[in-house]
Amino acid sequence: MTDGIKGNGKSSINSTPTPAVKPQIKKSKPSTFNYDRLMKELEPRIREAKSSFSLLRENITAMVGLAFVVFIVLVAIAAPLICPPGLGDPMDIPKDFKMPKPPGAEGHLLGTGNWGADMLYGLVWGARTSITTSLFVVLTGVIIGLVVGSIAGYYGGKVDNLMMRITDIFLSLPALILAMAIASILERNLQNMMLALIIVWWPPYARLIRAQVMSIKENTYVEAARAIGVKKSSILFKHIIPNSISPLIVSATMDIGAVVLVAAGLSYIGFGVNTGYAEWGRMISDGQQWFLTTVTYEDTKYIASWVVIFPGLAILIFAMGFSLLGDALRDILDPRLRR
Amino acid sequence: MSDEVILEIEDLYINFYTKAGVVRAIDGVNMTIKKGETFGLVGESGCGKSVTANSIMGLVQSPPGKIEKGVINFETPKEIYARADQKKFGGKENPNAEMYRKDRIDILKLNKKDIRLIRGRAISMIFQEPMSALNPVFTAGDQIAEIILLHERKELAEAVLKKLEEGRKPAKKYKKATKKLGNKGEFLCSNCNSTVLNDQEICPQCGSSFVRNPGGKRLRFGYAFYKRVYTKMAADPYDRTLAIMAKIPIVRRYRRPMIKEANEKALRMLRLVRIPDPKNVMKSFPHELSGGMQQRVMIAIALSCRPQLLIADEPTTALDVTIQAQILKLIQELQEEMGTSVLMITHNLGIVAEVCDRVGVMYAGALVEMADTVSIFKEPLHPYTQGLMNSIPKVDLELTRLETIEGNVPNLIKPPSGCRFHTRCPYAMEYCKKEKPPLIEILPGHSVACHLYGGVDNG
Repeated sequence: MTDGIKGNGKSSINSTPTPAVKPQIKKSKPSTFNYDRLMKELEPRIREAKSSFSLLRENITAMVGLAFVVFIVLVAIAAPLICPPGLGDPMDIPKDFKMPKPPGAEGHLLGTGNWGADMLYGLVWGARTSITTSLFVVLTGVIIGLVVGSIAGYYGGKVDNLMMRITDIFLSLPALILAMAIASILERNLQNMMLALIIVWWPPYARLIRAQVMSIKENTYVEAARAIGVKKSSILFKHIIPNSISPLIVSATMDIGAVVLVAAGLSYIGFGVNTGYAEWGRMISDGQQWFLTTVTYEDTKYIASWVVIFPGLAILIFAMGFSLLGDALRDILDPRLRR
Repeated sequence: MSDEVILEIEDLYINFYTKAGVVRAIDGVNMTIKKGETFGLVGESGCGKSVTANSIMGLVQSPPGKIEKGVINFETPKEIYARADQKKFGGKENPNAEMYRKDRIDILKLNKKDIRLIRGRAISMIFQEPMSALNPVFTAGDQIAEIILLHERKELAEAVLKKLEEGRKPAKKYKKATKKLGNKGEFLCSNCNSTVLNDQEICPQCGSSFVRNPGGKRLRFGYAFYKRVYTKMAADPYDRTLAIMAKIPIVRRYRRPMIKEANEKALRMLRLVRIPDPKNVMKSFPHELSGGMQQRVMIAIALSCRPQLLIADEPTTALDVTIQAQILKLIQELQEEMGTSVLMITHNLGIVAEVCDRVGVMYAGALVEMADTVSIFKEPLHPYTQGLMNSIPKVDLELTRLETIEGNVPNLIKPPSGCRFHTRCPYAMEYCKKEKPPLIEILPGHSVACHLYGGVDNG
């Protein structure tokens, strides 16, 4: 029955005498989810995004950076497929408790490290650690820095003084030393390492955003917003922050790589995660005792440099990828260049 | 134009406390603006024109600025009038309630929250440089909709409710029919079961008519919720619960129909300021528009809540001459259409002659002369105004040199004693150094602050 109506409906339209009917059907809007209208509303944003992406495409170094980042993200996502975990904690690298084996050894594509830990497994699962650590640390740091910095910069006076002096206390200590101090009084695990990193990571963001807000708030459009009766807090969140956030985005993107470096440093000196954890800095730290020593595998002598070189390369690719991307974002988000 | 005064500034003194010393920026300004007129405020740069305008909006930055004394009386807008009976959060009476019930309020005495009801609604402002006065990260449409969403929630809520009621019943019928047919562009007539297209108002077979409302159709989902929310909004546009709801993700989507209404109104405003292709301009970012278009958008923002007073702070300075004329004409036309009074701040006497009904001349923080445009150009009384008029280049006179006013603008940290113009005045007397001349009406409708005219009757 319904089929019949459908068919008849079509043919009856075709047979209607007025020829102007046909384009009307095409024009009429779908009833439930209106894709056209949604696209129409989003059109200016999409236009901006497209122009941003074309700027990104023109920049070769940015594309290289993006490729590195995408590669590492894909590896991290596909970790269980590349290296299926054992029964225990997947973040613990499986070991055979033998001497390090060189790359290409049976069952170990990139060789093994300290206690016979599989290098490939460590690198692949370590990508997960690095991404989660760096994103979490940077995002939390950005949020804290944004709140503290923008409020201090916008309201000024005593609020500014108080908040910035607190920030100065954190800034006055060398970041790595402070992170070590915090990590050393806490239990040794990934969460506490991230906590230590967040504590040292937000103050520069707060400074950055404060300076931005202080300069943006002098603009005429902020005065214009006051003149139409916008609330003071809404001016900060709706008018000032969207205009002052782009240097923070650039800085944060470049810092994603830097977090991995510092986290690796913390792990290396023994304040990060425990031995055997799939974390690149920890792998270097574990492998350093084998670095430049000679191991024998199937009657051939090797200098066991791979135990350090592979995790080091992974850190390099990760840090460089985000750094290049951040550099390009600086150009893309710069309004003077695009406008 | 009537003689009804809508704004009255009395004895305004504003100082700026800077590190170099106290800048006595406004030193006893008195002026009145009548309903529907264009009042021109002219003077050199730094003579306090903009500070006066900002003080009317309550926008004087403090610190460093401080309003030492003075009264700015303004016709009480109905929003403020309604605030008088509203209790504060703890059930306390609004401390200004007594004043709000009168037909005039002193803008300088309003608290922060209440003055926001005036800004943009009763008094609005056009800025000098449209490029920097528009926020670069929002589209033009967003920025016009913003002011409408701030001040016209009641009207918007009523419009949404109306659409809600209109669209309810036919929407159901519409959807049912669409389902039956399974084809999106058409539906079945409930009367004779023949196919009808969405766009058709009348069934081609049996002639029965359909009422369809696409806006209403969209609102059919969650009818009860929307109805409740918007009834509340229409009753009290500044309802606390709704304000909190607007901050919670997902729940804040209740604002969507309202935002849609606001966008429609923004489009109407863009048409009103005669922007070509308004639909595209709605979606354009400020940097994609030309200077004249940007200024039109600014005017649309300023006029979208039909203010009683429009302050135009050198609206044409940053534009080229042909656009200047267009913008001035537009402001004049819209002013007549809406019955708005305009305070035109400028240093261009040509603009004054062209658009203003009355003129106030400011010098070093004080109003020295106030009169209607014709008499100020025909017979300027104050020596400073005379100097200004002489320094206009005239095509028909063969002069080798343009006349100027001798000397420089005084330093307002250490202003000259008595009349502030006496250091440059050709007619300066000993008395001018001692006593500050008051603004006195010498001829009908023509006031001047100078000792030359009757200020020194007895000495």
